[in-house]
Amino acid sequence: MELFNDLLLGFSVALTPMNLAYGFLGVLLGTIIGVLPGLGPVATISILLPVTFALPAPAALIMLAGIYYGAQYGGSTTAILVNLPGESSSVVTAIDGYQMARKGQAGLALATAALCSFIAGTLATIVIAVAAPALAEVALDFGPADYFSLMLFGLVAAVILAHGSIVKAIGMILVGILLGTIGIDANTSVERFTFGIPSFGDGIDFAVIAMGMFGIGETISNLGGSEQSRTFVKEVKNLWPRWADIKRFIAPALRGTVLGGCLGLLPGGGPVLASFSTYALEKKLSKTPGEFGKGAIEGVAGPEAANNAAAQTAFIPMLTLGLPSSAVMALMIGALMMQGLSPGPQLMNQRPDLFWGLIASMWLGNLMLVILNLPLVGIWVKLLSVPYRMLYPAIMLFCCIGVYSIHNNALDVVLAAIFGGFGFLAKKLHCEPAPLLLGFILGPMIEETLRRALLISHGDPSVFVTRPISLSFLVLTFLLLIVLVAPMIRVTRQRAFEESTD
Amino acid sequence: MNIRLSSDFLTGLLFCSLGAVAIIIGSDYPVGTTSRMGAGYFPLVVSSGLILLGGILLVRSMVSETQEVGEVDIRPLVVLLGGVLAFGFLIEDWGFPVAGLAVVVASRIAGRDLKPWLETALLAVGLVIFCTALFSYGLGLNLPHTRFW
Repeated sequence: MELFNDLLLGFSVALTPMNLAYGFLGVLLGTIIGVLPGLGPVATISILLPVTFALPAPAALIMLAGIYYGAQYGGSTTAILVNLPGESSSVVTAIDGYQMARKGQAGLALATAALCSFIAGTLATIVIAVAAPALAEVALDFGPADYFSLMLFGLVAAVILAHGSIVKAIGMILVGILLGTIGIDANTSVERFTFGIPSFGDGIDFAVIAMGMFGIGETISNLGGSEQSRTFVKEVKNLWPRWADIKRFIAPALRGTVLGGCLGLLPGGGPVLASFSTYALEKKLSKTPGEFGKGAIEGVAGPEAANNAAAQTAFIPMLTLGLPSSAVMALMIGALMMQGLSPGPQLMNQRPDLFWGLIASMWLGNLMLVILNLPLVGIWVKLLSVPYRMLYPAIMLFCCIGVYSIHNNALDVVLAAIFGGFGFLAKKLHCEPAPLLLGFILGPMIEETLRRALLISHGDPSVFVTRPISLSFLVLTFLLLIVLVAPMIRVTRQRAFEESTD
Repeated sequence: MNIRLSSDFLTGLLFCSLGAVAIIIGSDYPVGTTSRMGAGYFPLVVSSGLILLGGILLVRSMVSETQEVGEVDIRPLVVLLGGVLAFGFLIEDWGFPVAGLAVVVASRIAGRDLKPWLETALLAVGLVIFCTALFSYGLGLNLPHTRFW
């Protein structure tokens, strides 16, 4: 009954008027930025990070988490109505969702997306509540060698999940790790790559790189292309699904939840991969695969459930191991550290109110999102008619304010411009920015654990294979590498991503 | 501008030069031993890996047909980055309103949307007022004021 008591504590925290209000603010903001293409959760959370400093820790985390999963809901609205993914994770939803909308089933598609996300969100919340404490227990036994192998596994997994060339993805990870070494070395106090600039001593702030590459870099490439004419479905009716529809989408939603929930745990995996894999799975399982791409409800239900489940289970490694599996989770860790808390296995015992309050707020947030997205869908349709030429100047201004207000340092803005240029260059060279960010986040931790593990073992590298936890991660990494080079799988991987870009 | 060079070749060049620069700058950092690593150990390993990968890409671009970089639109790249840089240089001495107007107008130039003038002007002023109200007064961020008000 301990779980019950813990959840009770969580709800007592999440249901206080202030936390409810911040939770609502978070999911509302998340929906708005999810609906608007071009501004993602990474940039939004970075901008709001300095603001959360003044809030109590639970309210801050509840609001930031709300932005993240709110964006998953909002992104699917744009995908269905405009055939333009508001978020990268709703690329797949656009395939069948837009076709449904064109057939006059926009209401049904929106309802399916929202309800399946809700089902997945509810189940994922339960999974977090059950699995996180157990994992935190195990994590207390993790030594530096184990953390090192785990992160190595995560980086290799991230390479598989990256689009395009594997060599380039690994290269981008290494560039990210190298950027992460900038600053004063924690062990020897040597200044590394600081170019004599004092504010480089603490390293480059993660949010500067994220906003530069994602906010500024993306806008440059968007402006470079010719503006696509958008034809969007304005008429939304018959919002509530019939029983027959529910029977069709419930099984894909459950399968999507399971698959998405597992993939969300992997570093670098997350919502995007989850929705792609679930779409492929549903197409295979379907008796009428020909319907996919022409408005199959299963093609909306599965991926939507999967991306929401993955968005939530991504919190598990963050909360229990202190390991960020994505850019958003790295920002969450940043928010925790600004509150003077260190994420990791101790967090749950030190601040049970924060831990369980966050979990309870996820379920409440999902409930609010269903209400926000279904009855109020008319508002979001209006928001969609704002033209892009009004949006991108605002996005640029928000990015500048966000970068500047991290440390009130104008040098950060200059740096963000440099990373914006680099992000655009990387895109032109067909290199993904996401692996670089993951390398930047994990790099310092990899170095630290590597040094500590070898210090403890007196330089003996066998420590990585004699510890059972470390060994199992290394074996998994090795298996992944075999998968990576196996030609058959390379072909399918390529095909999966080619399908997605159509 | 249309760049007809292979993207693999350019990426390889980029990776190799980044790795080489890191090794050269980092050559003063003590390397230490495996059991007691110095500050230079880890960056050296990572940079060497980067040069190796860059080399693979360079070789690959020579032996097999690879994708070209293709069309690059210089205008948004230069003007948009110029706008952000202007924000950075203006904000401390001229305050947020001036820096904010600069970045909005520069963005519109970058996107070839400067005309209609009235729309750009209204958007710039409106956004700056909105952001001042929201971020300075609403959220309590410390954005510098303009000196002359």
